[in-house]
Amino acid sequence: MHYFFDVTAIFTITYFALLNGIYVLFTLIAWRSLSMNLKRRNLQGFEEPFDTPFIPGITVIVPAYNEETGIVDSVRSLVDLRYPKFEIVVVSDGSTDATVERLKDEYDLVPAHRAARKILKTKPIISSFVSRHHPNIWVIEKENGGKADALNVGIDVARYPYFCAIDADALIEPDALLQVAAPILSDPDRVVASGGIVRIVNGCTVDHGRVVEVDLPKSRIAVFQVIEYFRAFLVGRVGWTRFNSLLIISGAFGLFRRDLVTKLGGYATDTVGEDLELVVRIHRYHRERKLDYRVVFVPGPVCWTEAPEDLLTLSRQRRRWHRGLGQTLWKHRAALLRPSLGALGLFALPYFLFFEFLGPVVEVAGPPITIVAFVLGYLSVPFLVAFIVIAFLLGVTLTVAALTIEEFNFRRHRHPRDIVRLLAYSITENIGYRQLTDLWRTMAFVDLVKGKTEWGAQRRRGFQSRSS
Amino acid sequence: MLVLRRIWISTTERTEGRIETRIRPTVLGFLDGDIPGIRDLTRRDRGVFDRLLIRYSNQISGSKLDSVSQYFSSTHEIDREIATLLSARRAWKRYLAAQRLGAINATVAGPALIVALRDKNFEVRRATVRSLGRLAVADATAGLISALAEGRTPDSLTLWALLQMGAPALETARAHLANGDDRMKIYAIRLVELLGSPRDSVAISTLVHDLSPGVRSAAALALGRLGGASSLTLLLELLEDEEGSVRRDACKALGRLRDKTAIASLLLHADTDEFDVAMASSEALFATDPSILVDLDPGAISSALMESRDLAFIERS
Repeated sequence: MHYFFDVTAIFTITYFALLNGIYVLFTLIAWRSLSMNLKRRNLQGFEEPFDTPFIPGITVIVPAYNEETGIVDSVRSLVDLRYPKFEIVVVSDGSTDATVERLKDEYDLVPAHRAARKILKTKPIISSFVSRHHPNIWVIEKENGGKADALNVGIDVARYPYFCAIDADALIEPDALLQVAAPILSDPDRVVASGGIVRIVNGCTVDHGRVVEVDLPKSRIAVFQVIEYFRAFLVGRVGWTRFNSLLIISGAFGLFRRDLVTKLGGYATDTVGEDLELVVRIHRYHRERKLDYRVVFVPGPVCWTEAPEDLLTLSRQRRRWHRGLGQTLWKHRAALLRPSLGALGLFALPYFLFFEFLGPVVEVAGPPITIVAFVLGYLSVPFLVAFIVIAFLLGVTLTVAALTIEEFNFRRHRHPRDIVRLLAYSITENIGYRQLTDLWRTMAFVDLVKGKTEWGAQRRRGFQSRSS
Repeated sequence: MLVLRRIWISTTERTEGRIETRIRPTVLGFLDGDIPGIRDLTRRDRGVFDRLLIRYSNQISGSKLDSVSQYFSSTHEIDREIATLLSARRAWKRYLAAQRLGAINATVAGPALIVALRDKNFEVRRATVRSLGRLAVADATAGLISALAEGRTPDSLTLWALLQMGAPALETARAHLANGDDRMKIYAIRLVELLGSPRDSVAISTLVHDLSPGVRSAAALALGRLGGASSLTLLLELLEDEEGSVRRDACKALGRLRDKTAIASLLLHADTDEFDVAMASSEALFATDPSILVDLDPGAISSALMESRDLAFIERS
């Protein structure tokens, strides 16, 4: 028994040191990288490079399933995008609500055939419509087949060499497409995919598809997610980009080269983490062939999305994300620890396996083991207290560092009281919220064993408009 | 600390906002030639004044823009930025200097910017290209074209900068139409396409039989835009090219020419199994004569033609 607790202690300390070491490294990288960005931002003129006939067009694909509450605002935010050449393709994935009717009313849609390449295998298209007033808006109605299938239909009918996948409950800032496309335009031969930052719209005021006032959500659960998103995007993704091992380009807002994705077979329909899986496949494809390429995260362009405000919806989302991660890791298990794949095989995939996928299990199993060790007298109490204090302080410090990066570089939350509130939540998230999300993520293992494939119902509140 | 910083920033922003409101008429007066107005400005006012001037310089042209560069020359700002661009150790400083020189319309900085095209940092080179384009530095055309060929600067931005230079860029591009490097040749064709005239189609037409499909495609698109006596015949020939991408671009070019004698060939190509060729052909038909599409039998045409036919109906209604 003594041996078991010794091994557990060594494992825990090693695990803790490695994980936090990576976090600290990424925070330093993010700080340096974003500071450079800040220095350059004031004089960045996006207009000139984009005001040219050499700009490649972009097809914006919006997969939608029962999105009647937010689809009109979402498409409105896309119509206002500042980009010289783009089209919007909304793919209704067998919606049973008024998603298509809302769009028909708002954009004066009329039936029109839309030609498809039929390279990707998808559920059949039922009908298609084009807007009489905005000829670059198309709506495709198809049989239900899931988000990945809807995206594949969008890719199949896309006319432009790049496509941008955007969630139907997301709002895109007018300059976002310009900014997310900038790395591709700067280096079209190497950059094959690029993603922007996703921020939480809850609490913000939306007017005609635009976020006009940024406020923190009233819901505590949503504020915790605001902090999580800061950590994930401003630290995590900036860090992974530095190693060209960015595995997640959010499904809510990501730009890809169409011919490449088509060649790779489109989005995988057998996983709920189709965005992650596609990016891993893109990495593998290039690394296995020793091709020079880049997958990048751009912190400037913003996509606003609605976060769950009730525990049930949040738990479903987290379980789904974790299930998607598990499915992707399983699918690409052959790439794990393969030296020929460089940072992907030796760093990114092992990190996602040991710290992201198995991490919740470690964190959930920790407290009961600690209690048993304490009861049996195997635990040094001063050591335990010191460990908990260090873990807590380090967690808070890293979160505050992410907040500081946000505050120094972007300052999207205008009120000083928001900073105070975010700081307070940075401390309290370690007590309760974090454990709860770990528990949900652990429960995803049950879903994986059961072979659960569906997304689960999403509860949408819609955007908070100026008039409401 | 974060809260204190936020309070400090908010206070500064409010103060500078007030200064901006107060001195905005002075800035506008200055741009209209009222130089004495700026003499009474305090040091802090000057900082805001400079910032506003740079911001407005994006929206003005002609003599007003000249007065901006004269102002920054008189404050020795241009000299300082040139020195920074050429000698600063940190890349972000050189980047900022390159950007600012374009923003303040520093036409005298042309030679320094041309040197900076060889900067070791990609971002600095990018900012340099932007400023060279903004300043339309004619002497930079050769440097920009070689930067393009060597992949030292982003394609779209560099081509944009060359377009801003107009005639000098066109001359350089014409000279590169016979370049041995395919990539170079393609860039040259694209520039001639956008800056040239129908008489350039004679030089372009010699490239439709080039060994490189990329060159043939670019030549087809250029002929579509430039027109010229033999363009139609050459484009119809290219419809039978062995490469799908060339056939697709020949269809696109025919759509630009809008010559009704091409309709029969386009109809034929709109019915092929090659999606991109069929789509380009259908769109060309739509551009040439939408009425021809309306009369087609929907049961006997390709998916691409069907789309163009429906769009033609919608346009008619």
